[in-house]
Order: sequence, then C-alpha cells, then structure tokens
Amino acid sequence: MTEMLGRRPALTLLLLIAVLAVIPFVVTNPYYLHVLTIFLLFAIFASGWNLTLGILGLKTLGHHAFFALGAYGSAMLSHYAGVSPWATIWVGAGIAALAGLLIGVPILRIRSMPHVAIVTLAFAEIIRLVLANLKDWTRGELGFWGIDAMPALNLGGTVVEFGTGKPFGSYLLALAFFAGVHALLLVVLRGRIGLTLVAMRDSELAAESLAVDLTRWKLGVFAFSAAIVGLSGALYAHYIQILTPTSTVGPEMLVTLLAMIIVGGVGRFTGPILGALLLTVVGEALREFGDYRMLLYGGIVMLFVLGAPRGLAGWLALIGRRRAA
Amino acid sequence: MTDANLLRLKDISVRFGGLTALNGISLDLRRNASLGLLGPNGAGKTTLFNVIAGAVRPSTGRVTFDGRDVTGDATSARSRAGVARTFQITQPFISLTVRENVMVALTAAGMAMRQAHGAAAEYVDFVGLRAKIDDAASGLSTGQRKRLELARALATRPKLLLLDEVTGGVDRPSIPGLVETIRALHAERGLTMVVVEHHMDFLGALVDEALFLDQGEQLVSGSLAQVAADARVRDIYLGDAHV
Repeated sequence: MTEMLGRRPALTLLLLIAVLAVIPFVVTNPYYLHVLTIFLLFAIFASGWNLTLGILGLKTLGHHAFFALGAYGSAMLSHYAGVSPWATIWVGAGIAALAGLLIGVPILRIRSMPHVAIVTLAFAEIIRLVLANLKDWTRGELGFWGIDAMPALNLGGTVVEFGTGKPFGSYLLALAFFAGVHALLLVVLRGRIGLTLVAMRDSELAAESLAVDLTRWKLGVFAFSAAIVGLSGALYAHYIQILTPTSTVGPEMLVTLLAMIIVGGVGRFTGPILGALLLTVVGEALREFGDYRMLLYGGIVMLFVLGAPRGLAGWLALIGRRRAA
Repeated sequence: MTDANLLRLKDISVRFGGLTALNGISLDLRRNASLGLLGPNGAGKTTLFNVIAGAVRPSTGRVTFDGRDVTGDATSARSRAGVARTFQITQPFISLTVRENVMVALTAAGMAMRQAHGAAAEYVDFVGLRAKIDDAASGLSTGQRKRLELARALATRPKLLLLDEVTGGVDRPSIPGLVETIRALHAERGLTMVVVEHHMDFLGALVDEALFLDQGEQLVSGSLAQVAADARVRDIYLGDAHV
C-alpha cells in the first residue's frame, strides 16, 4: 500500500493544506487565487477519477460526464427550484453517483479494457449531446449563465462571499472541500477499502478466490468515485457561474484531467494533486503563447510519460528512497 | 444434516464451444481426504479444478459442497462457503506486501484491519515466509509466491483446499520443504485437499486417492497406489503408443 499512499501520506496532506491555507493571506492578486481555486477543484476531480482509473485500474474515460452531471444538476436545481446551492451541491454529487452505478453495471460484464474505455467515453458523449440539446433547460452551447454563487457565510462577524469576482472566499471554500475530500480518501484508502481495491487491480481472479465480491465492490467504487467528481463539478458550477456542455464534458476536459492524473502519477494518492497543480499552473503560464499553448502543453505531457512514467508522485518517491538508502 | 462427503460432483460436463473439456465426471470426496488429479496435459485437470472453485460453470451436472448445492455460486461465494485455492500461474497482489496479501483474505472475511495486521503473521509464519513478511510480494521467487498463495488460501479458513501445481516452476531444492508444509496441513490438521501435481514422487506425500483424467474422461479412480499401478495410466504416463 506504500506504493499507492506514499510514505507519511497524512503528514504530507496536512503540510500541503497548511501551506495552501496561508496562500490567500499572502497572495492578493485575484488572478493567481483564481488559478489556484481551479487547481483545487480539479484536484478533487482528478483524485475522484483516480479511484477507478488508477487505484482500481479500470480504464474509465468518461468521468467528465459525472463532472457535468454534478455541475448541471446542482446549477439547474438551484436556478429553477430556488434551492440553496449549499444543498444542491450534494444533490449534484448524488446524481453523479447514481449515473456511476448505471454505467458501472455494463462495465462489470466487460473484461477488455479498450471496451471499458469506449463504453465510458461513449457515455460521456451521450451526456454532452443531451445537455447540448435540452436547450429549453440548459440553453445548450449558448451557455447556462446566471448560476447562483454559493450564498455568503457569516463566520463570527466576518462575511465571506463566494463566486466569480470573490477570489478570497472562493479559494477558501475550494480549499475546505479539497481538504475534506482528501482526508476522506486517505481514511478510506488506508483501510480495508484501499487494500481490497489494490488487490482487485493486481488480480481479480485471486481477490475473488479470497471471498471478495467483485460486483459489489466495483459498483460501490464507481458510485463513490462519481460522487466525488460530481461534487467537484457542482462546486465549479457555482464558482464559474456559467456552464456549456463542451467546457464541462468536451474532449478538452477529458484530455486535461487525464493528463493531470498521468503526469501526477496514476494510482497514487498524491499523484492527481501534484498533476493538477502542475498542469493548471503550467496551462495558465502558457496562455501568452496563444495558439502554441496546447502544443507546448502536449509536449510537457509527452515528456512526463516518457521520462517519468510513474508520474511526479512516483518520481518523488524514488528520490525519497534514494536519499534514504 | 452433515454429509460424510464434503464435496460431490455429479455428472459434470464442460463444453467450450465444440470442445468437450470434461465429460460426465462424478466424484465423492470424504471429509479429511486428499485427492490427486492426474492426467496428461489437456486432460481437463485445471478445468475440473475450476469447476470446484467456481471459476468455470459446468455445462451440465451439479456441484454439492458441505451438503449444499453450489453449482450456480460465484467464486467469492464458494470461498465464503469454505473453498480455497492456489493458482497454477501464481496470482500475488504485487503492489502489496506479503502481510497485506494475507490481510486481503482476513478483512474480506470481516476482520478489522488492525486485528488482521497481527493475525496475518500467523499464516505467513506457517508457510515459512517470516523473513519476507513486510517485503513487497513483487520481489518473491516462484517458490515463495506459491507459499504466499498457500498462506492467503489458509487465511480464508477453508474446509477444502485446492492446490494447482504447487511445485510447478519452483526450484528443485525448495520443493521438499513446500511439500512437507502441505503434507502437515493434511496429515496433522486434517484439511481436505484436491491437488493437481505432475511430480509422482511428491504426490505420494500429499494424497491418498487419485483420479486419472484423459481427454476429459474419468479413466481410473481409487487409491493412489491403485491408480499408479493401472496399465492404462502407465501407458499414458510412460508415453507409450496411445490412441
């Protein structure tokens, strides 16, 4: 399990959260805070996806559909039914979890990974098309705008506001969810669940022979993973306050998030976090290169795949071991 | 009602498309017995093994285990009922340590992680992997992997242990120790076993009875000595003209 969690994962997470918590009090540039808020939300997304893709080892390529379902689900419910986003984000996560169960059922019967990839990819495309065509409700590619921001909180006399144009509050809110989700993931992965998932990835045959009910476990992980991704989508919706089908469940989202997991380290607890940080920051830094941006972005991803196939997390672990030796 | 037989196979046939892998196999295995499955390559030994473990569903016939019909049960359900196995091509959880490999079995049976951490040592000790307990399973030799699978299987507290070519691929000097460990399970703890093994000399230490399969058919069964003495078996094993 050390390979998945790294050494001292709780301490690493705690230190990271501590550093991230100081940032908004030091960095006041709203653009930097915006970039880091996006990093935090994508880190939640990537870590949720990593559960099925990396830790369980199923080549699921459709998790951006759960992101969109969480985002649109929460946004539409708060917009049309007037329910507080504090409640609807959980509904968004729940909708994504149900969709995860739904897509999990056919996946169970498929042993070939390329087919798993195609089925999940097709599922995401269906979601994109549905969102693009339910124009009366989603306004299609014109964009679903006017989404409510998370209502302000009064914390002991200090009012904290969220949403676009409120970088300080939005960053702290994203950080709170980042901390909560990753603490939960760590508890889950350190225990029986993490042990069983890694065992299933290494040999389904052997795991099954040791009384591990593959069906129950896979469906459970699919729902859990989808719920986390859905939650990140809901938070994203109430932060950016405008959604389009292409920006949430289009191919660019798929590639960006997949690259984060690969560059960070597939199947490693800290991998998606590191990947999201690096690629969000690099992605923004490359904006000045205009059309060459995605080319350079792709080049960096290639460099990592060839030079550090275990990702940043694997590479750091290797350096740590060499130091210790 | 307790059945004197732990395992009953009734008229088991397995067809893969046009190929008949097993044809009308019936078998009663007493509690505390140890049975060897013999036969040349492709005789159906591993298929029969998989039918008992639940990995292959028979085309016809019934499997009864511990007085209950388990024909339709999945592998995980068979494991809970008390069937444990090792694999011909070892299947260690390579990202986990030796201890964690055993903990998978213990926690799947409902044991808490902390408790399983300690309890795993007992099984690892028994198979002689104490020195490797917190090493990655990926670094184990074939012989050690076979021992690890044995520890994992025993951690499910099985009533029936299925061993698939337990000496296969193991370096020769390590074989006697491995065979002795397994022999003790049967002789001293009375564990019921089904063993697929090519080495006749080791088979004698492990099993009392044998079933000889050839081309999916049950050719001879009885005590190991009887089966080994059978003229047809000798023919096939000595590679004499066989039609």
